[in-house]
Parts: sequence; C-alpha cells; structure tokens
Amino acid sequence: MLYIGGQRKKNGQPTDKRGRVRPPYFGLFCLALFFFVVIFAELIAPFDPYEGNLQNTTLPPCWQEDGTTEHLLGTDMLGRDVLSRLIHGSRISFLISVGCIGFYGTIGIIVGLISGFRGGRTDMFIMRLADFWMSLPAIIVLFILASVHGPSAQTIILTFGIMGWPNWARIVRGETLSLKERDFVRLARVAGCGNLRIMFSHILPNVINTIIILATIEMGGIIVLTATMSFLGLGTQPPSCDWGLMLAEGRQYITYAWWLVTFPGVAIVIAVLGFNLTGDWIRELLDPKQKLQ
Amino acid sequence: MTNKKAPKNHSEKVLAVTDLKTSFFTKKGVVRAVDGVNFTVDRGEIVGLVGESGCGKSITSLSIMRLVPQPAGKIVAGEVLFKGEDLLQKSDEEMRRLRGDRISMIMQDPMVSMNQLLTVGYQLGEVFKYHHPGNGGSLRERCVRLLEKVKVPSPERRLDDYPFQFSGGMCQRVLIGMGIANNPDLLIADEPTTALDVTIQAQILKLMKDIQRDSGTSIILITHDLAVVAQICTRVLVMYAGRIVEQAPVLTFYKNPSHPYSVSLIRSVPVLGHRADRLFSIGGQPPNLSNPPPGCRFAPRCNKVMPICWEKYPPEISIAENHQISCWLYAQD
Repeated sequence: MLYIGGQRKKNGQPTDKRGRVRPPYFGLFCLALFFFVVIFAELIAPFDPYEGNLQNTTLPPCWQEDGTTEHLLGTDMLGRDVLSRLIHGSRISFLISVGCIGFYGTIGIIVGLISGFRGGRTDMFIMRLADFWMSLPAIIVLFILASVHGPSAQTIILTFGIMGWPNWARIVRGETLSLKERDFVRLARVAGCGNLRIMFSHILPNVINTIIILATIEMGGIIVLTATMSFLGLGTQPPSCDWGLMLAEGRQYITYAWWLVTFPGVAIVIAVLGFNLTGDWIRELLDPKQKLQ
Repeated sequence: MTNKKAPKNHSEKVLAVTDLKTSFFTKKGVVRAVDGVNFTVDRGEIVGLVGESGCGKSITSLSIMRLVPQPAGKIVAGEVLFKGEDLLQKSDEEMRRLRGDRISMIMQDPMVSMNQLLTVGYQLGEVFKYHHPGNGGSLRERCVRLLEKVKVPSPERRLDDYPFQFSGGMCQRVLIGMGIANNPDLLIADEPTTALDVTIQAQILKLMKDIQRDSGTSIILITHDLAVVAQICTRVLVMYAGRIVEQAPVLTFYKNPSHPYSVSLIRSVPVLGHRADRLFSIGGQPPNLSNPPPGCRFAPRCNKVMPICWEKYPPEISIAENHQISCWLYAQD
C-alpha cells in the first residue's frame, strides 16, 4: 500500500481505511439505474414506446422552446416519446447481452474445462480451433447469418454465441490447467470421482470467480456491439426501440433534432460505464492474487 | 511394537509389487523416479516406507493408485498385484471403482487436499455416493458416523462447515475418514502427520492403528520420520534413489540395520538426552535420477564402498527371514 498525497492507494485505485478498494459509487449508481429501468420499464415509461402521435412529431426536450413537460426528452419523427423508447430499449439491450453471454459463456466454459482437463491432443485441437475462430471477423459472419436468417435480435445472439466462445475457453482452460494439478483433485480421484464429476463439481466452482469477472466486464462490450449491429441495420429492426436502432434512425435528423441521437448515446454510455466500473471493482474483490498483497 | 491382534497369515498377500518402474519424461531427459521396486504387503500389516525426500516414496504410492501425474509421468514396467489382480492392466473405469472402496489413500497436506469451496460433508459424501450407495442409511447419517469414528467433535454441525473452518489436525481426521470410509483392504498414508504438530501427530497415529486393528486394513505408511515407523509399523521398507535397499521387520531394523544407508539413517536421528554439537548427516547428495550411476546408487555416499559397488547394482540378498538387503557387503563369495 502506498501513501500518495496522504491518500491510501492500491494499484492506483483509492482504498478505504481497511485497505479495500473503494466501491465505484458512480458505476454502481449507473448500474442500479439501468437495472431499475429494466425491471420497472412498464411502470415508469409514460407512453407506449411504439405508438406515435403524428401531430407531435420531433418535439424537443422539455427545457427547450416548444418542448412540453408531457414528453420530457421530446419525441421522434413519428411522434413517439423518446424517454419511453429509451426505457423499453434498456430491456432489449439487457436481454441481448445476457443472451449472448449466457450462450457463448456456456460453450466457452464447457470447451475450456474439457480442453484444460483432457490436455494432450484434445487440448491442442481445441486451442488451434479457438485460434482459427478468433481470426474470423465477427461482422462478416454476422452479415452471412443476417442474410440467411434475416436480421434480428436472435441473429445477434446466435452470431456472438458462435463467435465469442474462444476467449472464454482460453481463460477457463488456463485456470483448469493449474487447478487440475492441485491436491484436491487428486483427493477427489482417490474418493472415486470420475472425470465429469471432477470437472463440474470440483474444478468449476473454483473458476466461478473468473467467470463472474469476465461476465460483468464483457456485458458493457456486448451492449456497445449490439448497438453497433443495430446501427448498421444488422440487428433488431424497426419499430424496435433498441438504442442502436434509435441512433441509426435519428442520424438523418441530427441537424435539427439533436435529442434523437444524443439520448440513446447517453443511455449506452451509462449502461456500459456502470458495467465496466463495477466489473473492475468485482475483479479487485474476487481476485485472490490481489488479496495476497 | 508389532501388532499381535492383526491376523498373521503370510500367505494372504493384499499387495504384491514386482519390478515397478515409473519414469517422468521431461525436456531434460527421462527421470527414473521409481526404478524396479519389489515388495509385498500382507493382510492387516502396517508397512513403513521410509527414505529421504525425492527417493520415490510418493511416486511408488501414486503408481499403485494409478494416479501418477499425466502426461509427464508414466508407469513403464512392472506388475502391481492387488488381491491377485494386476492394477496396471485395469481400465480407468475399473480403477475408479476400486479407489475409495478397496484401495484408499490419505494425502500429505490436509489443508490443500480438500476443495475449499465445497463443504466437508459434501466431499465426505462422495466416497459413499460412488461406492455402495444406499447401504447403511442416508448419506448424511453415514458421514456423521464416519466423523464420529475419526473423533471429530459435534460431527452433525461440522458437516456443513468448509475445510478452511477446520484446523489442520481436524482436516487430517476428515481425510482419514474418507480413506477408511468403505473399510478398504489397502490404505496408503502418504506422510499423514508431516503437516501436523507433535501432539496431534500422536493422536492421528493412534487413530490409524486403531482402525487397522478393528478392520484388518493393511496400511502402507510413507514417512521420513523413523520415530513414527517405530511406533506403529510391523515392517520397514527403506527406499533410496528409486529402489528399495532394505526390507526388515521393525524390531530387526532398529536393532540390526544392515544396509549402510539404513545404518546412517538411524544414526542421523538425534537422541533425546544426548547433546551433540553437530547432528550426524550423510555426506553428499542423492544421485540425479535422470542419469543414475551404473552400480549401487548409494556408492558415492557409502562409507563401506567396494570396487564392485561402482560397477554393478547389488542383487537382493536374504540375510534372515523377512530381511532382505541390496548390498554387496552381504554377497557370499
């Protein structure tokens, strides 16, 4: 622990009196806001996100001239309430990112466990396959899948699910490699446990830390990626209120309706920042190497 | 010293190891960790396997369990007859069914041998889950009875604790419990007391001896503590550089150690009440096992070395009943 300017620091991060890294209050606040909105979307959204009123198109936010307190963040070119669309859009972002991570995380964990545990040729084969897989550009694959299946949220989940596993597999494999040499694995063998049992009951719980860290940190990245996909027209389709799609739709009106692109952008920033800051903090909390210092 | 209550039927061999060779294939060459080991274990016998660090004691026991670290280590040759069946010929699945049931093992360091993220009860239960499930009540009842047997206080409550909430001695008791759960025919204890302090050590040794007396389990006790051997073993095997150099009943071994290595080993033990300025130690280092000398492996450190010792490895010579030595000193001619 270093004392810099009278303040305790660890790895450059401020800590409390007991030497723990201080929780990222701003990040936690962003995340809390995000989850609040995801859970209570119907209750807090003032309007239906899909129903517009053509008499009230492109109303500016309430604090501007012509703005109304009814539509706090204004309306879009079809007269739909921007705030309501943002609130409902949070659900899409959340479901897609959870779907992606759940999908490729499961594949990655299983493949990584097998690869690390079996070792030898199996390991070699899986890791070379992972190397090859990582060299494939995800966007091209998404183009192909989108042209076959049609662009949709499912296509995004499917693509990331297929493309995302190598990273997780590598990390889980690395952990498994060191864990399988530990004495408790030998003890499990002595007790008569089989390979599957050892992999999933004995090694997997020891990898969970890493998995939690990976998942929280990657959530932010996935939200940006899905927004990018929708922006390119490869993801969710109108009239969906996905944040990326809202950005794409608002882009053409940017010169006279700035709020159509700004607020979805701000929403993405809040969600991603929340996940990233919290993820970093969780890593500090859970990483056993940090505790030793 | 010898256990009188144990059935003494020498024809009944639980384990017979013949010419066991286990090597590690490393980038720097082949390390012959175990190089032609022969011994037998009778029913109900406690055999002490002694030797200095790195002489192949642990690898011998792991070879018997077929748990040599893969893929570097490999059992190259030999036969391990367990109740007449060769363990080295068994399939992985057959071995899995034997482990924890007929053959069991107690690990060296109890604290690192248990999975810190699973409760003690869960890990203990695994021994029952895979062997004879359904016998003798519920899993939990059996675990409680087992913990009672190894004298862990308030077992019902401790089952839900995690290993890090246990002390070292307590963890070792749990491991012993796992070892004896299904009344195995053979229990290999790999330095079960090394990580514990002396008073706990005595309790654990007593516990092991009781178990052996009650269930007739044969025990191979691996240790480098000669005092422990004297306390509970019936027979001693002395290992040096991957081979067994002397086998003798425990009393003979202490009264009349015959191999120069055994003699030096016993001399190295400090005697209570004698204050020596320097403890006796054997000069030199054990040979490099990737390139062992052609003759007797102890020759470079032996104080009775003869020319022939440098040329050929000595044969196993029987100098009394149950007393075999590999040393040219006792070769007749």
